[in-house]
Amino acid sequence: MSAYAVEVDNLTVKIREVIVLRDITLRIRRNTIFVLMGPSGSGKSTFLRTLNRLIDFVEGSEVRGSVRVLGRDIYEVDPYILRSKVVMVSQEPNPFPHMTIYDNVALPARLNKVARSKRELDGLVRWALERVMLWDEVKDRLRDYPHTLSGGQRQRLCLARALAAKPEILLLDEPTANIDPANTLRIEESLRNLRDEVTVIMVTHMPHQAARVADHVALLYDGTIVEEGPAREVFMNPRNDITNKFLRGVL
Amino acid sequence: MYSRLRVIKNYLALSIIVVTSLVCLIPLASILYIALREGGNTLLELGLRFLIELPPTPLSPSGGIAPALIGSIISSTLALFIAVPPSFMLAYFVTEFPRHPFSKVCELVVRSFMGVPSIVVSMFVYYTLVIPMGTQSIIAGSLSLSFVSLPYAYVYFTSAFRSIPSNIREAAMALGMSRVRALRYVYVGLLRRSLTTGLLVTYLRAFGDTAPLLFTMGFLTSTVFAGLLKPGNALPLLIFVYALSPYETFHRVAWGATLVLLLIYLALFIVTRSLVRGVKL
Repeated sequence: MSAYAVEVDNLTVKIREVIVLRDITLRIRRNTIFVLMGPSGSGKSTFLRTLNRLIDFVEGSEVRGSVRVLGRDIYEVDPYILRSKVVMVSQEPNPFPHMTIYDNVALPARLNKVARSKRELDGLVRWALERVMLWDEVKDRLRDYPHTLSGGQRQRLCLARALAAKPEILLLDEPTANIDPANTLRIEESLRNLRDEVTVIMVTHMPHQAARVADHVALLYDGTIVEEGPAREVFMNPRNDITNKFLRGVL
Repeated sequence: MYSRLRVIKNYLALSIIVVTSLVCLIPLASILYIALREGGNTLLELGLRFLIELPPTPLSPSGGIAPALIGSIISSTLALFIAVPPSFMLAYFVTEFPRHPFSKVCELVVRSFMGVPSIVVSMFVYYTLVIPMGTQSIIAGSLSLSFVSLPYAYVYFTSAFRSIPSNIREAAMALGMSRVRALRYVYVGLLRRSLTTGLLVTYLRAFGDTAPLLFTMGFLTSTVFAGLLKPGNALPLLIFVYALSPYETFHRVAWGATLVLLLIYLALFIVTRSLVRGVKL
């Protein structure tokens, strides 16, 4: 088994002939929190969508280079199986509005056959909600619908739903962009607790958030990785001028 | 404070909206009023017997609409079963793969099919099914109704599928669901109200249409139900035939049937709309 969750070599992604990612080579170790930083429009979300092949749904997209996830080339794996192991949580909370809080979390577990009995499923739902620190807030209203939750709670519900699928890699596309600081801190704490169970790959345009949660970071600028390394090293001693500017908030 | 002119403009605009709304309601209210006035007596006089008795002979004092009611229910239900599966699947395919050549052809063919006069459909089924079978039948009527209803179901289903928010689509895909699983586990539940409305509109469209049945259904009056491969009857067909007849009894039955048809429409619509709750996003 490869020590890396993701191995990317010479990845170039074009969307309608526009180069969005340019010749990226990157390794992401298993069971770490990897944060891809970068200003808006630098190609962070495209990178995430390439890893789980959601890019396939983008009209006019073209992927070149090699992307290996969990040791296998992503184009040699059934995309649905790939996405059930590499689950993504979007920037905007998107729980299924017609399903109860319980069913939202239970659905991926049912579909991926993670739980084999009702009791096991109940346990898994509780585990996932506890992991995102939502259990205490919703345990008495699991049959309520997501519209009764706040934005931050809904985002944590989406995170719990993703965890219930028992993924090996969790992709987070600016998961705290639209929520308040208290919920942001809860999500960050949840992520730190998840490190042993899943590889987390998060994108953010906020360097201070990356500093709080990341083990490893990379800076993506204009479709190119300009610097990467252990978070502490990059934040304490950035080698690249662009990184320096980004961390100081002047990019 | 608003200026006097602004207040007058506001009242003027509100008045125009109220008046135009009332004008729009007039035809609906008139139809209901006339159907109640003309058909109400027949229904009150015969009560439930009107629904379960055979139609009258020209000189008998009264009669019911049983064959037409049963025929309408059976033929419309069959039409629904024939029309809905292909229109549902086509609609899903077209919304999921809008740029696929097959989708473009489907869009063009099905939507243009909406404009085909239903009497032409009736003639087509008469030529291809009734003549070879040697008899008009409920099956032929159902097939004819399904051809007419299919584009309506398709249009409803495509607009329902197109209304799925992109973030919900992405959520389903990001969890590893295939398109079929997303449809089954997410979209159908999410769209339950609009899909049910589509089903209902398709059913009502079939229930109330006359022309597709003219050459296909037959006109059964001697018994309530003779079999799917035998002639049947339908409420709109009975109304059409009896309204044109010279007999007073037939006219009364036609008005009674009109009222029943209207009440079924209203009941189905109200019950379905209230039973199937929408989804709060």
